[in-house]
Order: sequence, then C-alpha cells, then structure tokens
Amino acid sequence: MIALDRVPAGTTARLAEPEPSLASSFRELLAAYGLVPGHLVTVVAQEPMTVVLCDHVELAIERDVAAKLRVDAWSTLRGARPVSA
Amino acid sequence: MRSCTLIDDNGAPVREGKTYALVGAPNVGKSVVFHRLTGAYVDVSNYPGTTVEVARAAARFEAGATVLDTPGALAFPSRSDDERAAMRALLHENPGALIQVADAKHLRRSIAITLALVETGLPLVLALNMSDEADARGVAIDAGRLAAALGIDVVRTVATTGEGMRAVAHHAAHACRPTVRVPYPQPLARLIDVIEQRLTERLPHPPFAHRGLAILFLGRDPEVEAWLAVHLPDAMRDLVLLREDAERGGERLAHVIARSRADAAGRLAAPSLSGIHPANTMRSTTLGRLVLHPVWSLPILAGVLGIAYLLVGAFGAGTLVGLLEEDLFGGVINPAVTHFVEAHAPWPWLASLVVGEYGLWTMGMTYAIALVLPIVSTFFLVFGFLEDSGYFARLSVIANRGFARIGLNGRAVLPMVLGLGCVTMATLTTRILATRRERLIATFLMALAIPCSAQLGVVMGMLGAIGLAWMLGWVGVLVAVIAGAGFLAARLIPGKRIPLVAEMPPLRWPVAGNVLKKTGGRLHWYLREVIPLFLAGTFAMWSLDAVGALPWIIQRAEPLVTGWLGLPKEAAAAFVMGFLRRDFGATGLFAMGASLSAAQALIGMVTITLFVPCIASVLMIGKEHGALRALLMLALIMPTAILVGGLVRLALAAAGLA
Repeated sequence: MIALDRVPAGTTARLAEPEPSLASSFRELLAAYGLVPGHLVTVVAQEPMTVVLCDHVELAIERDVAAKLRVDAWSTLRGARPVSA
Repeated sequence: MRSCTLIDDNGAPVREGKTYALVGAPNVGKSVVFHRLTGAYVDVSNYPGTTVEVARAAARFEAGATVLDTPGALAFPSRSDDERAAMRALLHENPGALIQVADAKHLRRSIAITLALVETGLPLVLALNMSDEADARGVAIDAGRLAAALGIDVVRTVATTGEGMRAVAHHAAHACRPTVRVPYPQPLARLIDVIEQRLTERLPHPPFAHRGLAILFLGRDPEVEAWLAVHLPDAMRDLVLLREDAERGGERLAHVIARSRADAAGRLAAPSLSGIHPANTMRSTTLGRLVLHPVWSLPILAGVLGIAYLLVGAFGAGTLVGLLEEDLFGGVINPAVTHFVEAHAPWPWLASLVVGEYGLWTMGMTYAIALVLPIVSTFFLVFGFLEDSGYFARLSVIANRGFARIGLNGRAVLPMVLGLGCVTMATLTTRILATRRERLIATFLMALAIPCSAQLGVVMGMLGAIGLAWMLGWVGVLVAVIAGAGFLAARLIPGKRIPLVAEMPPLRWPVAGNVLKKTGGRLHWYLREVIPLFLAGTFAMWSLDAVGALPWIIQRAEPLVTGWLGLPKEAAAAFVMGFLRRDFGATGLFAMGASLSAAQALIGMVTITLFVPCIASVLMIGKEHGALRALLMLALIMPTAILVGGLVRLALAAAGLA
C-alpha cells in the first residue's frame, strides 16, 4: 500500500481506504468526485500537483491531500501486470 | 417515454405556474441549458462558481412556468456556499420538477447526484450533457437502459448546439417521481426509517419527501437543519440525539451516505456504459497536460500573456483608442459638439459643464466611449476566449504553490483573473472559495492591487508605449505588493488554509458565438455601471473646479504629489478623480500623456492602481463582508498606495532612472 502522491505518472492504480487523518470534508469531497475505495484512477502528473484521470475527468489534488490517499494495486499503462503492494 | 401528471395537495393537476429547477455539478453546462430553455442569459463559464446565486426566468416551453438555474452542487448534503444555495432553492422555491444537468463523460459521479435528488421525491429528468465530448472519448451510454434502471427519463444533450433541448423540455413537463432507492447499510437504513417516520408524523407539508429530509438531516446538511429548526423546534433535540448516538464511536453518517451512493451509482452506471477506451491519446488531453507541465507551462503562460498584451494593450489601447479618441472624437465629434454647444448654450457655465475642461461630453463621455470602451471590449473578448478554453482552471493548478504562500489555494486565481475584468464582479465570485478567511484575503488583495480591465488597458497603453521594461516594472511592483500584503494577511487573519482539489475541464476551442455573446453581456453590464459614474465623476470635478475647491485640493495635495511621489501638481486632479473610480483616475493620468516622464508614468500608475477601489467595489465588499471590514480595507489601502508610490520613486531615483 502506498500513498497516491508516490505513484508515478502514467500508472493506473486502485484506491484503498484513505488515511484516518484525512479530514472529513475531504472524504466527502473526494467521494463526490468519484474517488472511493476500489475505484481505478490513472495518475496523469505529479507536478505541480497530483493530477488523476477518474472516469475521463481530470482532477488536480494538492500533495497534502494526495499523500493521505492510498492505493493498494497499480500497473503501468504499457501492459505490465497489476502488482499488489 | 414516461408520462406523469402532477397532482397538487387537493388532487388537482398542476399545470400553470410550475417551477423547474436546474440542478447539477459545477461545470456541466447548467447555465447554457438555462439559456436554451428560457432565452435568458446568465454569465456562462467553464469553471465552477459562475452561477453564484439562483437565476430565474420564464420557460419558453410552458406558458406561466419558471426555470431556476441553481449554483453547481457536487453533492448533497450541501457543504459549499453554492451547494447551500442550491439546497435553499429546493427547500424554499417549491419546484414542481427537477432537471438534472449531468456530465455524460462522468456517468458514475452524475448518477451519485441523481440518487441524492431521487431521495427528494420530486419529479426528475436527467439531461446527459456534453454528450459530444463523451462520444469523442469513446464513452457510449445506453440512455434507454439507464432510464429503465433509474425509473426516470434520460436525454442525451449537447447544450452548446441545442441538441436534445426540446426533448428535455418535453420530458420535464411530464416528469415522474423516481422510484429507485439507494440501499443503505444497517443500522443507517433503520435510522433513516425512524427519522422519516417522525418527520411524517409532524410535518404534513414538507418541501420535499420526508425520507429525503431525513437523509439530509443525518448527513448534517446545514440548510435542512436550519429549515427543521424553524419548522420542528420541539423535535430537533431528539433528532440530534438520535444522530449523535448513531455516530458515537463510529464513522460519520455523511461518509456512509456518500459511499453508499457512490457504490450504488457505480452499479447502476456499469450496465449502461460501453465502448470505453483510454482517453489519454486525445489531442486536447495532451495539450492540457503540456499546459500543466513543470517546464512547458511557463512559456505557454508567457505566450498567453503576450497575446493578451498585443490584443488589449497594443491593439485595444493603442490602435483602437487612437482611432476613436484622436481621430473620431478629437478630430470630428468633439469640435462639432463644442461648436454647437458654445453657439447655443444660453449661459457660459452650461457650455463649460458640457464641453469645458471637465465637461460631461468632452471628459465624461469621451473617457467612457473613446478611451475605456475599446480597451474593455478587447479585454473581455480575450478573457472570454481563455475562460471558454479551459485554461483558467489549469492556471489555478500552476498558481497553487504561489497562492499557498499568501494563505490561499490556486482556486483564488479565478476571482483574481476575473478581477482584471471588473473587481466588483470578481468580489462576488470569491464565494467559490471554501472559507470566509480565504474570501476575505482574496477580496482585500483584489481591492488593493488588482486593476480592472479599463485601468489595465490604460496602463498597457501608457507604459507599453514607453517601453516593455516599464510595463514589466509596474507588474513587478503589483506582484510584490500582493505577495507582501497577502503574506501579512495570511498571518494576521486567523484560520487554516484549505488545500486545493479541483476538476480540470478539457481544453476546448471556444465557440465564437458564445464568446461574443458573453463579451456583449459583460460590456453591457460594465457600461451601465461606468457611464453614470464617469458622468457623476466629471460633474463632481466640474463642481469642485467651479467653486474653486479643485485648485485648493491640488494645492493641499501638492507636497504629497510633487514631493513624496515626484509627480507634476496637475496629477493631483487625477487622484481626486481616482476616488470615484481608479480607472477614471488612470485615464486622467493617461490624458496627461507627454507631460509625464517615464518614471513619473510608472509612479503615477502604481499609485493609482493601488488607490481606493471604485464605489461599486466598496459597496460589494460591504455587502459580502460587512461595512466595518469594507471601511477597514479602505483605511489600509489608501496609505499603502501613497507609501508604495513613494518607495517606487525612491527606488527609481536610487537606480538613476528618476
């Protein structure tokens, strides 16, 4: 399990439960954007912020928040097999 | 097609006077749909927060009916100001039916909102908007299958071209109460039933379904809580205790509600979706990523600013102002008007009032039409193009790190850039910021150091003509002032900064008609505000001059103007004009033209840019933050302007430039 802000750009990752310290307001906001545990997102960029593609919509997430989102499986778009952490 | 007849409390069919509420996430095209359904125009942009208040207009498709355009709501229970305004509309406007405008590209998220709206029990139709963009990304949606799963009519729409609008109107007029339900886990489901039962016993005429009220109450929707506190004051204590018991030692119910809806939305969306392929090969997506690239973003930003400068500064403030002010007004219209008035005015003071040095025509109307109009027209055109292209949303990501240093996040770039159009308009848009603290800091910085388009154009015209370095010097001073004042404000105003989480709309080539319509709407708004104020300002200047007060003020201000700022004493008149509007004052300095040296032009423009915000802005600040805060800002801004102007003079003198 690693934090979303550590996932390299170009990688598809499966979201896990966020860290308990993530504020309630952000949990609700991210759920409204569709970022819920079990959902796949593609990391588009890590600079200047974490940008993920979630169901064809790009979302920019500041590092402080992305560091509290965790992923439990990921794979590169170039066909590598999913890897469990 | 489903067809339902609405029945009122007495069992009669509801036909006339029905209210349709447009509801949906930010940036899904509600305002364009509103325009299509009503013919009325509200400011339409492709970043969240454009609709900060509920707009209403008569429906084109049903006599006597009204359509409401509610602010973007990402989710319910409401949290942001926009969501709260949307919830207030649902609670207080008695909508007969809801039209959910949704982003077809993001079906799962759209259905999560549908499920929240379903719980209100209000008749509902779902417009899957931006279907063309979904097609381009290979997102194929089986609308029939989705309609069957949700139990409501689902229409594919492209609001910008009008596709599907007739069908939306038709289905809205016959919309059904949806029947689909979110399966909430135990013990939440049981608690919802208990609260629903209590509300049903005590509230015979709720604004919408008791079950919806119960779920929103459990999710701590502040608007629903306030409504219940008014209508059920005796029962609130028990309801709150039930909620607190349920949350004790466990997860917040709002999280469980959000997750349950997201799960249900995923299950409902999946069978209707097909043909999805990765979207990251699209040209607009690639360009969108280049705009955010750590290296390429900077030359792209420089290019965008350069083109904006060429169009507004060189073409608007240079070529167009030259044609209008010098050739048309200076060479043709003003001599003719002056000749006519002087020949026919019965008293010399009347001729002086209309065509004198501070004449209503020769100063007020000439400034407004010949100087300001070409500048704001080109600015709003460029602004509208960038706004519709999706660039500003990316700018908020690029600017986020810088804004973090002044207690804000990148979202604040949107009101700030809009402030370059009109600070009054932008002050209202600070509502998109999450906290009162952020709104206060952003409003203060805009009132202090963000020039409006007319002022910006005048500065570009004046300093740009002297040399790019002087223009960049002016920008540098303003950035330093914003950074310094923001740094202090972030430390003095209590509260925490909120990190940025934002959606990036796709980069698009804007539709020319939409940009022109938007520019026209803004120009109309702007001129309606500017012309009366320019005329009032000119009249005030004429009156002060006529009673001998203007020379007295100029004489009194002389030590400050000629001494500390190092400007000619006539510049004092421009600062007096600046009390009414900063751009009016800047135009006064612009009109002094060749009598100012390059250094004096820079000092004058820096000082007048930082000078008091215009009357309309002050009124708007008072409305948004209270009269006391507005007065406090004024008390801080004026001395800062004079102080910075003098410091710039000292710096230029030290560098041997003054």
